[in-house]
Amino acid sequence: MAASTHRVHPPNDSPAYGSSRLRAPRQPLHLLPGRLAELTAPLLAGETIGALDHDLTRQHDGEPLGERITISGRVLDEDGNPVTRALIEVWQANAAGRYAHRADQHRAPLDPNFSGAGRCLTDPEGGYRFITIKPGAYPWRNHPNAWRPAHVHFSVFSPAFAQRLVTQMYFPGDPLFAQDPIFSAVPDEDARRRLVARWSLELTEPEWSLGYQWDIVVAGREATPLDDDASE
Amino acid sequence: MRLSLTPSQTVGPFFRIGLSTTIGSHVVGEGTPSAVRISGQVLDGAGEPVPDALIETWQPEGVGRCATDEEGHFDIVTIKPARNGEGGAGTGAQRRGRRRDRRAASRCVRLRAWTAHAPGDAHVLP
Repeated sequence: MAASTHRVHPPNDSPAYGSSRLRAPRQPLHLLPGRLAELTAPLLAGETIGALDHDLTRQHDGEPLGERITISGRVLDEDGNPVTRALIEVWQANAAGRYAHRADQHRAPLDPNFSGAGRCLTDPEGGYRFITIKPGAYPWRNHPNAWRPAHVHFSVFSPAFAQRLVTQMYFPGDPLFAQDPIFSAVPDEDARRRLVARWSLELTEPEWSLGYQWDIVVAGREATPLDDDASE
Repeated sequence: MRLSLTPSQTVGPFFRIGLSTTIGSHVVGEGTPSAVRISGQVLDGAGEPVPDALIETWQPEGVGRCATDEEGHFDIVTIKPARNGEGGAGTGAQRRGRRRDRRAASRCVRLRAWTAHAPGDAHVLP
């Protein structure tokens, strides 16, 4: 196991996160020897990113309710190299804390002007930018009176297998962190802090929207896959 | 300076909102002459189907992605990975090592699964 991944990723089986009990592998993962696969085919065959796919506030006739925000940052590898043309996909609850998904039964209103999904490709500096509204906290049934802190789901997809990452971005100062078993499943305190965006004056637009800055660091192109951690 | 990694977090039960269309279950078209189908079922530790797992396959020719159905089944249409032709100079041991690496790395499809909260643990319909 590489020292840099130690205690960074949550173990697959995190007892406080009830669902992981039956959904974590009990056997070590089957790690294949040799170099890791790198995609040589285009990531998005025959598909392009639309000009407004990064703006979750402009996907309907009207504007979504909620606090308008910008989330921006860079995707870098461990050596500080920008990860360019990575596909970033985001999805999130609306301002009331409900997802536009048929299975979400939280008794909060849906917003007809908010679907809650966006995507973009990182630029030559590894940069990305989304415009959205701040998601609401919502209850779930992991333990009595359990609430998820407000978060945006992020999926990062570069052609290198080792750099695949699915994670969540949180907002600074959320009082719900300590009771959340998903956030708390990250063993290391510094690593947990890296899941929290920074409020940014530079990204805050006067008379318009708040800005949050969040950089994402993925493994080097030929690093051991992150699941290695859990296979010990 | 070495940067510290961003931790991973669960994909959650609602990933279909954000991940459904960008990359699909067909790495190649259905009619491709050498196409193969990789099918399977995701079961939890109690042997119950996992109806909200996300499966991804990786190979040099492309990536496939499929969410499981109500019985936990998934289906990826792809082709058998080709051997790469990379070579070049080096000592005999290095060349043998590269050949070994190529055999291992280029003739397999890597598969990874994500799961979220079990139904009932979230405000989620089974």
